[in-house]
Amino acid sequence: MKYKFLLVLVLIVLTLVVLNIYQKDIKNFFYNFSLPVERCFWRVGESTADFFANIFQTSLKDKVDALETENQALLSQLIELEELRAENKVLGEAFGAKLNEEFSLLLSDIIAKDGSFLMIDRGYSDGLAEGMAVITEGKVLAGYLETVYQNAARVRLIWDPEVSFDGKVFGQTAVSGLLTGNGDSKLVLDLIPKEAGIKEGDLVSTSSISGLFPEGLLVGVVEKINRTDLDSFQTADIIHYFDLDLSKDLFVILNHEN
Amino acid sequence: MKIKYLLSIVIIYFLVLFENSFLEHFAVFGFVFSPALILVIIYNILENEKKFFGVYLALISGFFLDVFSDHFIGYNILILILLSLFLKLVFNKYVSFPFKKI
Repeated sequence: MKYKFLLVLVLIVLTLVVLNIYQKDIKNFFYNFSLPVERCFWRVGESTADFFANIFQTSLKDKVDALETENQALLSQLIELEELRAENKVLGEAFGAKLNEEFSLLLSDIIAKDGSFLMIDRGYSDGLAEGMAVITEGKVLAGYLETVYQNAARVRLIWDPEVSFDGKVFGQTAVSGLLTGNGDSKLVLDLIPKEAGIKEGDLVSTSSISGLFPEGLLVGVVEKINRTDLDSFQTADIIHYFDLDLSKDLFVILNHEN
Repeated sequence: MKIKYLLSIVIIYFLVLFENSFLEHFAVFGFVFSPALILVIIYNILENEKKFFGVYLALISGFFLDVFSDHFIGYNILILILLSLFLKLVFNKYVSFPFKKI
């Protein structure tokens, strides 16, 4: 009886080891034929959730008012940016620098979500590779490809605690720091020099120091600054702009190698 | 009898897909309702102690949950099998039901 139990235990362990050696192939096999069903479930879920959100949305007017105010502020910023762009163009031509490098993008649909991971319906058969950055149509950073299967890929979202990358805050001057997910739909920007003049509401984007993501992808906005006399650096809580409810489609940047 | 085992694989497969793709939109405080897990719990509570179909359901549910998640294959299998054995032990030893178990 004792030997029988041990034999069963050894068999289970061996089976699990073998399954994990071929884990990617097994998952690939299931993802290949589950794609249409998952896509269908995701779309139905999305429209059902939207339907109920509209019914239970009580503060819609407040939201519209806030968005209108934000829109006006953004319009004034847009004018400033247009002026800066014109200035940049002149400087770029003068120094022969390559400005506004365009990305080569691949459109993909979200088909499933699991914690801080998303599944998209494109894989290595579409030219995807692990490590590629994933953005929204507004050039907001969503995450990067962690595992790529034949016709699907798993995206690790930026707020996952295991994600950390370099970012830039646009305060009085641009300041670099280290962005880390805190697993709670937020990010923490660390290693900001104490003398850096950043404030709540400053925009945060990616920088290209580590090469993990291309420069200039929008990440979020500074929510709160944490500054103590004991620490040598200041940190900031960042609200990211990537909203799964607003982003129906995602784009994978194909021409950036990390 | 074989149909019961095959049918349970198909049902659990669709339940896990449903959880990952449909129910993800209805997460409450980040928690998603898991029909496969509920099925395993209820079946094991109601099952006769001498039968082990509930453990088989735990194995299949764990396998599909692992396949469609980021975990290594075996993570959910082990958790669900241990959970089902625990439920069998507790509900058969310490709880009596006013009806005949399945």
